[in-house]
Amino acid sequence: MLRLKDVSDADFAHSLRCGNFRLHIGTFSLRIDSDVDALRMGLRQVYPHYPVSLSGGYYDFDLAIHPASLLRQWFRRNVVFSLSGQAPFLPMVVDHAHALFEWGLNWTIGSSVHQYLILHSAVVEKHGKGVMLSAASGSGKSTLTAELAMRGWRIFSDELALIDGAAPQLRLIPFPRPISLKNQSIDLVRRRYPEAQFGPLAHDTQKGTIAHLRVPDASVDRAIEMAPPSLIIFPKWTAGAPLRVQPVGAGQAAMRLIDQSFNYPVLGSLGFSRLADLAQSAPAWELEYSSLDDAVDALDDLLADDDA
Amino acid sequence: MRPCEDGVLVYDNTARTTHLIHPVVWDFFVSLLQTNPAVIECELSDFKADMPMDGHSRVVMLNALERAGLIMRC
Repeated sequence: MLRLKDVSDADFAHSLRCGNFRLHIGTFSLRIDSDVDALRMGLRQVYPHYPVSLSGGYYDFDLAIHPASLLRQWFRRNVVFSLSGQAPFLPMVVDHAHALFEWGLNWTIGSSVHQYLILHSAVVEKHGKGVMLSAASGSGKSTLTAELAMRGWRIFSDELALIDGAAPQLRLIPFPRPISLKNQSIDLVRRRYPEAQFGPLAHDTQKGTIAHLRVPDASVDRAIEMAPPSLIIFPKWTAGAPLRVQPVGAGQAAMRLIDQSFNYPVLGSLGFSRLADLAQSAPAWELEYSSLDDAVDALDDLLADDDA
Repeated sequence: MRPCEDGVLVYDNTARTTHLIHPVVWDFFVSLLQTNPAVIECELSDFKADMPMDGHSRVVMLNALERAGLIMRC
């Protein structure tokens, strides 16, 4: 299996320019077409362990990042993301090319992959048990996910929970990609884990400064191993708050998950059935914390309780 | 429809909306199916919710109960 870290810069650049580059993430294959150096360097930094192909082949999604116009290749340089030739977003400055790729890929999955129920939720796994961390942006979800990644938990996603829509058993589908961190969270993770590896910093985005944390190689190696959902957590970081762990009823949990869903309305009654199955099979908890250590201890305790 | 300990989840296939209905209110909903409109109006007034006299408007009833904080909808 060819991995990106084994590919020379020249071959990588040529394959990207010719549209022959394929990046394999879990069960998805991406065709990536780009002549933007900033994207190539970003992919190098955060996807080195991922399986790739340089000579074409099957793909699920056709993604591209190119200068927005010939003029913009040289003057006020900006780039545009496209999916199958359609550009859903406005151009961004070239320094944000990698962040734009990650956002574009999130959008691609959230708007296209309707064989799965897709929730805005991080998913991690330990001892074969899937844990969903569902919350709106700004609640500390990705920071907690990064902490768990650095402690050896397996990462399915920091953004998208994919739940198989057809299988008789509920299964979470891994889609392990770099973890998107913002502003102070970047420095926090760097302080706690100096060995953490990040992609390029994107300054002055709508969300402030963004950087993507590389996920552990073990999560990439096991990217086709699914897991049952065992816990639903609604995390909330609050400065100075004592640890608070409070149960959430299945009905309330379902309603909160619907609010965080990408495609629930598209799936109709199938989505309702899957979501109700999920809420009724996995206990849900609200977790408010100010200390990452406390939050991780609480998650360990909840998983241990689930064993009992 | 899925009963949970904290309410009953109901999917409305026509409007493609999901409701979480408090167990007590669910019992009331069930009773509506077998009750005449005059009684319905009386019972709804207990919930401080508006209800048309005919008692047959599902949407109005849901809206009224939602305004009264007795169901959640998304």
